[in-house]
Amino acid sequence: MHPELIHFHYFGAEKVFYSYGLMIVLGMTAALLVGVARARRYRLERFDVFAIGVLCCCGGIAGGWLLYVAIHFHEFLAEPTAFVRTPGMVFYGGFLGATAIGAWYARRYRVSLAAVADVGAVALPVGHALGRVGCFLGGCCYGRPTTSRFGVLFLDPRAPATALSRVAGRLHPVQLYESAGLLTIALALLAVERSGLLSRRARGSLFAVYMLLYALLRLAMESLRADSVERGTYLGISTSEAIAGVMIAVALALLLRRAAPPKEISG
Amino acid sequence: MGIASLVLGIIGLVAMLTPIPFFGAITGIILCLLAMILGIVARKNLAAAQQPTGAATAGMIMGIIGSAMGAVVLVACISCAACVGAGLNEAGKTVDNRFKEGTDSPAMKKALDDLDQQMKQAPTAK
Repeated sequence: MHPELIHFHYFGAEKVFYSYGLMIVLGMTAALLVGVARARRYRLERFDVFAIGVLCCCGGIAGGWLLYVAIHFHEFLAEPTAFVRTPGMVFYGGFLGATAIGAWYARRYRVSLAAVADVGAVALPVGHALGRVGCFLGGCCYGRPTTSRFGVLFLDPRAPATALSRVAGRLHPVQLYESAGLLTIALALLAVERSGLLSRRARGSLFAVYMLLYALLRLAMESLRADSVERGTYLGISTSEAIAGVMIAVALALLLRRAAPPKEISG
Repeated sequence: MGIASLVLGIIGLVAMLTPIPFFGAITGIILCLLAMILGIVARKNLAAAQQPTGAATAGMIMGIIGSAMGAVVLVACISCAACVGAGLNEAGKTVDNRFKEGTDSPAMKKALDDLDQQMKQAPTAK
């Protein structure tokens, strides 16, 4: 664990390079490179895939932050700078922001959104896997206490996991479990794509398989995470479990719709 | 739009590199994100109209570099108050459980002291 990568001073000011931020940037870069490399396979222009990827990142960040501000609007009015100094994000807002800007670009420049989604199905888990390594380095999104040999002690006083680790000892490195799981999903999706199991005409199916596999992985990880209480639980179900449930339902509906034979047109 | 992207990219990168600790980076990242978005849209439109795309591409690239720098400087998981709160919450529960089990040892006293100190230092959760 190494939350702060480099401290440097210039003109009397101190700047810190955070490991988490660096891994997020590396993850986005890796996802964009994988996406651009896969563009030709789906007969898309490389620039379109790059542009949609970059715009979705911007839309996701902006949407996530805006919804967070909207939810905490009274606190925001009282102390707006606090929301800039320690920015929070809401997943739904990020998802809506990224989808809205991606859909806008696809509609404006007549790009197949389903084909872009299939390109992103392999690119997203690769980027996400690197982001999770950033979580491990930053000491957030940590696991429950364990006596397993894989358990990790978080001792850096700047990391959120340290308070629990000092009292309870070793914690599950769920960040690394999820990272490995995401890389496995990316490889599995590549294998599915090359096996010809999914029809080339059924664009969007690969993305549906990604949604299904990621939701299952997330459900498995959620039971090992210790920070789920703070992210909200309703009737014993965490926010992430609820999102995973919705993702599974949507993915199954998409796959069933794609698998259905086309209707015959009479007359 | 291409020229606007280039200008925003230059100002954003300069703001990012200024030694003003926090607001330099915030202003820089906002300007660089705008430069990136404008650059992408301008490049696409200019390419469709078969016009030169140099300024738009330069603005887009500067926007990308500035945004990446901003993310590395600004985005830190350790600043997330909710995550710190969750850790303290779970730690508190663990301590409570051990008390219920009747554990009383120097290690427990040290853990309680550590927890107490961290709760005092933790940022206030929004």
